[in-house]
Amino acid sequence: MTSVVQRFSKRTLVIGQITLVLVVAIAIALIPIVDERSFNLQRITFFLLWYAILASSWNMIGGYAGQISFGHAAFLGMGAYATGILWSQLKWDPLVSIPVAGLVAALYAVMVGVPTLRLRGPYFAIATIGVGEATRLLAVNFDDIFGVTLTHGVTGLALPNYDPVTVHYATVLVFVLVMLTTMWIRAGRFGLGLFAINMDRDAAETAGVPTARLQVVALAISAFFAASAGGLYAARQQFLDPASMFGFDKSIALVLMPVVGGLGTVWGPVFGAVLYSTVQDQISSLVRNPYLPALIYGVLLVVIVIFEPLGIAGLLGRGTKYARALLMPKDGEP
Amino acid sequence: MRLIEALISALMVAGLYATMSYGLALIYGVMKIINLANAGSMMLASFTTFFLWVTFGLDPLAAVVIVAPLFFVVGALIEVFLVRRVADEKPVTSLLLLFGVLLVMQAGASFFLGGDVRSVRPVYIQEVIHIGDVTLAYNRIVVFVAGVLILVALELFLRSTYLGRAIRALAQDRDACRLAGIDVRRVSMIAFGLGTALAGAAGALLTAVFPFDPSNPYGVLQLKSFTIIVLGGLESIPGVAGAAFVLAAAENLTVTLSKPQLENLVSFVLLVVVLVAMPGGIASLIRRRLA
Repeated sequence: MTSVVQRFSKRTLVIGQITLVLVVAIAIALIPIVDERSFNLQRITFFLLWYAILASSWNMIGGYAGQISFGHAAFLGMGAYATGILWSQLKWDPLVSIPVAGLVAALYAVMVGVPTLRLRGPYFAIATIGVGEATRLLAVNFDDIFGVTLTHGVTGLALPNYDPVTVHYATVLVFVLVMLTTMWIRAGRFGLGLFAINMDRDAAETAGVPTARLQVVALAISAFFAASAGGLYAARQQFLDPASMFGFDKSIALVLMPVVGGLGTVWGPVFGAVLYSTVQDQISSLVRNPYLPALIYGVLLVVIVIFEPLGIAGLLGRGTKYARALLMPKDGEP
Repeated sequence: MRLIEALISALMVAGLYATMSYGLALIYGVMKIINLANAGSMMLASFTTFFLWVTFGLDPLAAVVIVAPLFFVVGALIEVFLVRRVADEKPVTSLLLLFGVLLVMQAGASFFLGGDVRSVRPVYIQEVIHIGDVTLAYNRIVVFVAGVLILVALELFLRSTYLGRAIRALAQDRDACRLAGIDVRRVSMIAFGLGTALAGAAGALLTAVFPFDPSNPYGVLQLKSFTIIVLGGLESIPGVAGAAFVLAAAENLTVTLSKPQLENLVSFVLLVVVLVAMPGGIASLIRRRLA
């Protein structure tokens, strides 16, 4: 009897979550149709979804598997530049080049992940700091080193125009895809393996979990979506420079959003993204000092790690039983 | 000739590299925690040195004597109030916590002190010494000597005092230490304090060589110190000094023989090569050969 109830409630939970994603997606997709001239709202929702995609992608490796990446901007920037270069040089439509860029970044992730994720300890986290910095330096100096004009160094890469409404729909689509993927990982065997690694790698290995392989696959999927977000940015902003795409502040944002929202939860990264993009938008107009946001994020990070490891999702999940089931599956034990 | 000059110049920088990486290795060895706030402590120490120099005209080298104990206290406080709370959690937690501390330090310094580039210019900054055909900058020699003295003092402390031996014992086996009656919490606090004091000393020494602002050159130096401790073996403290020299030499040769833009790529390439080829660092490679 209890198992029937449990299964029923689990199924409603899954359907409920998918419905929630689709409702949000459709609502945002309708914006350009309802009001063609809602440029500001379109910009705000674009960045909201954009940050949500990035945060969720980071969460797949950082939250689920517990392997913190401090250099995720490398994948973001790589996706942006690959899309930009394919679009400006080879005239590939961004809608075609974005998945290609995603695959390129996933390949790069495998190259980084295979040597670092098979080791125990903090090697991956350390290596990602290097990956982030090295990839930025490569983007800055690529033209000098190889003698081919490709990234235009610090001057940045100006791209041909592209229809922002198409990008808007593409962003909604990628958002739905990333949410479905993150839920699928969370619910299935793959995610269970990642959580097992996160809790106790030795025990997971003894139980027959292919720990290194699962982590590399998770990183590749994560890099794919982060790069897709980069490609969307390239198609929308039509200008790329290494400082904004590969900058360490982007990597910081990618760590912050999922941690503040709720590490290892499905909805946490989305909450984190909403908070981050709102703060980013509001603070810069309220306070002149450009360093205040970073200071607030730092304090927030310390407070959350010490007092509420599940972040906003953990706080909201305390409210009601339903919220708890939705936000903190498996009783808040990631 | 250029080659010899590059190598000697590398040796000079290696003193600074070793000092800053030693702190990281010490804390990792004892607590199995990567102190991401290391760069932040260095930066704050540089600013402290800068203000000591501006207000009292104190030389950066003399400032080490004040700054290092000060940052011992800073490190001990961070351990007691923050790191200790997450000591039993997953390693991810302490990594994120110290990343938060780093953000607070960097953003706080930029917020309150501004993002301008500062430099300390003692009178001897322009002077050079000629040894045969080799020309050496005086300030680099001074920083090197200071770095070596600090490391020798630390090594003596770790080898010959009870506390030093307790720290080394803790790095080997935490549970055995408890059985032997070592106050693990107190020794952890001291180790974290010592590591931070080393970062402080490195930050003070750095001002005599490089100009600085709240984020530069600390981000790059942080990456370099990671490369050094991975290369030297995460827990092998003598390996760190050798690794510091290897990295500094590799960088110097790259700049001398190839393009200066590649300097900071070297540490990353070295990091990946080491991780792929010899995950335990040079020390484990040597140990394997000897065994």
